[in-house]
Amino acid sequence: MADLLQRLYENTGFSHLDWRMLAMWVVVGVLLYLAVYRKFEPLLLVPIAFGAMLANLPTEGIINKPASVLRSPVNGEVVFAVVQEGDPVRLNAVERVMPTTVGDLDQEILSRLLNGEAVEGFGARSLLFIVRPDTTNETDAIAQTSLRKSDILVWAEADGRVVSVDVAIGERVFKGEPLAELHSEHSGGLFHYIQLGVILEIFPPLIFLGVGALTDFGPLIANPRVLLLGAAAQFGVFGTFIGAQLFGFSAQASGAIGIIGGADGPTSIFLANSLAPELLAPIAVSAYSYMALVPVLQPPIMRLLTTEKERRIRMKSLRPVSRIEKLIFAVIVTITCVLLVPPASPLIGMLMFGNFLRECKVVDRLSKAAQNELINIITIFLGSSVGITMTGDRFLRAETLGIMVLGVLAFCLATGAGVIMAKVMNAVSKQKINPLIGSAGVSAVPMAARVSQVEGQKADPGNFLLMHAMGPNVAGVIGTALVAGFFLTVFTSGH
Amino acid sequence: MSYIGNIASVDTVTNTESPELFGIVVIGFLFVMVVLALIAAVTAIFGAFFVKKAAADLVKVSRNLEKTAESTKSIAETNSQMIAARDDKETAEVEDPEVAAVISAAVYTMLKDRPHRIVSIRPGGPGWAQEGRRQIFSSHRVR
Repeated sequence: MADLLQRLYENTGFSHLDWRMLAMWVVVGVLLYLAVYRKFEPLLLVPIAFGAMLANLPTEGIINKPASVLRSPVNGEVVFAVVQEGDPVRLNAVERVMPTTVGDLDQEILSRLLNGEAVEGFGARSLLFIVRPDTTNETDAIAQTSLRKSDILVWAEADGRVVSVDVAIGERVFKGEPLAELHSEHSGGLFHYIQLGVILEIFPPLIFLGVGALTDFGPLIANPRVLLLGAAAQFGVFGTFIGAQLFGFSAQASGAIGIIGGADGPTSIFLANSLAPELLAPIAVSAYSYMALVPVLQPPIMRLLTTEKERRIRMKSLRPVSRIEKLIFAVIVTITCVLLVPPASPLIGMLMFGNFLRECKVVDRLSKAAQNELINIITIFLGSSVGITMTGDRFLRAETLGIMVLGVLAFCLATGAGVIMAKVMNAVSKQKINPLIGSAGVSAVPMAARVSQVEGQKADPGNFLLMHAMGPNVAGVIGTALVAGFFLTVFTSGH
Repeated sequence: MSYIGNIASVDTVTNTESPELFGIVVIGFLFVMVVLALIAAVTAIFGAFFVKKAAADLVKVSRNLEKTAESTKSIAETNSQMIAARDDKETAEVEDPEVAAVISAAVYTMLKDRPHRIVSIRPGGPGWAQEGRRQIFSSHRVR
C-alpha cells in the first residue's frame, strides 16, 4: 500500500518540484501583475510570463528535443567516450543548465559521471563524450588525469538509446560532425520547434518586418538631423558594455547585455542569441521589463538634465513628406546600412522592407498582414519562446541580478545621452530642439515619444512634441540595429 | 534548450581574440554616429530637393489659379449680365469674385492638371433645402 502510494507520488509532478521553481513562480506572478494589472508592455510580458510558468512546471513533452544525431560542438579531439551502442541515455525530467567544461566540475563528480553514475544535483542526464577543443591550453591540465579544464562536456540531448557511436577516443572531429546517433520513441516537444524561430534567428527579423510596416518615418525625413539624437542614445549601449565588462562578463556577453540600452526587444534577442545564448532569458526579460518601465525611468533624468526654459521650447511644425520621399528613404537606409554593416542586414533589411510595403500603397493586403497577423503571431511565439528559457536554475543566478542592474544603467545612460545631444545641437544651431525629444532616441517605440510629449506638456500645456519625438524614436531603432551589426562584426566571424 | 547552452559556452570559449575594450567603445560609438549622420545628410539633401519642387509646384498652382480666376471673373461678368435679366438675386451671387474663385479652386482641385476652362457659372437648381426635403420624402415608400 505504502509502496503504491510512493510510486504514485513519484509519478506526479510534485516529486520534481524544487525551490528554484517555486521562486520562479513568484517572478512569473510579478511579470503577470505588471502586464495584466499595470498594463506594462502586456503584449510581450504576458507570453513571456506564461512561457516562464510552463518552464518552471514539471512539464512533459513540451520542450524536449527529438532524438537525432549528436554533433561535436567544436573542432577538436575526442578525449573520452562514455557510451557504447545500445546504451540507454537520459535527460532530466526538469530542464537543468549543465556544466559545459571539465573545469566546471570537481574531480569526484567527474569520475562518477565518467562511470555513468547519476550524481545528485545533476539529475539523470547522461554525459556521453568529452571533446578537447583546438584552442585548449596545456596549462589547463588537471593533475592525475589526462583531462584539461577547457575540455568540453557533451551531454545527451534526448531520452532514448544510442543507435551508433561514430567516433573513437583520440579521433579528430570538426564542429558539427556526428559523434553518435540517438533514437527515441518520442518526437520533439512543441516548444522545441517554436524555439527554432529564435535559435535560427527567424523571429526577430520578422518582428522588424511588422515594425517597419507600422512605422511612419515621415517625422524623421522631415527633420533628418534628429537622427543624431537616435545615434547619441546608443551611448547607453556602449556605456553598459563597459559596465558589463567591469562586472566580469565576457566581451560577447557584454555586447549582448549592452544592447538592452537600445530599448529594442527583437534586437536584444537577436544579438543575445548570436553572442550569448545562455543569457537570452535574462537579457530579454530585462529589455522588455525596462521598456515597460520607460515612463518611470526616463522623466527624472529628463528633468534633471534640462531647465524649465528648455522644456518649454516649441519646435517648428514638420513639413508634410511625400510618398516618393518615404520610398527613397527606405531604399537609401537599406543600401547604406547593408553596405556599411552587413551583419545588420536581417534587421535593417526587414525593417525597411516592411516600411516599403506600407508606403508604396499598392500592396495594402501585405502591409496589413505584416502590421497585424504576422507580427501578432510572431509576438506570441517569440514571447513564449523567451519565457520557456526562464528555468529556475538558468534565471536565478547572480549574473541575472547583474544584468537587471546593468539594464537600468543602460536605459539611464541612453536617455541622458539623447537629452545632452539635443542640448549640444541647440548650442551650435539656430533652429532649436526641445531637449525632451532627445530621450526618445532610445527605441521603445512609441512609449519613449509619449514620455517626451507628456513631460513637454507638463512644462507647457500647449506644446505638442509627440510627432517631433517620433523622429529620434524611429532613428533609435535604426541606430540599435546598427550597433547590433557592429557587435556581430567585432565578435563573430559571420555565419 | 540544451543546444543553446552548449553552443553558447563554446562560442565564448573559442572566440578569444577580442579587440580591446576602449577601441570597441570609441570606434563603435563613432561608427554609429557617422553612419546615422551620413543618412541624415543624404535625407536632408533629397529632402531639400523635394521642398524646392513642392515650392515650385505651389507657385505653378497659384499662377494657374490666378489665370482661372481671371477668366472666370470675365465669364461671370458676361453671365451676370445675361442672368441679370432673369433674376437679380442669383446674379448678385455669381458676381461675387470670391464665390467665383472658390468654384474655380474646387474645379482645379478635382481636375488637377487636366486642361479645363470654366465657361459659365450658374446657380444649380432650386436650392439645397428643397433637394433635402425631396430626398427625405422619396426615401420612404407609403404603404
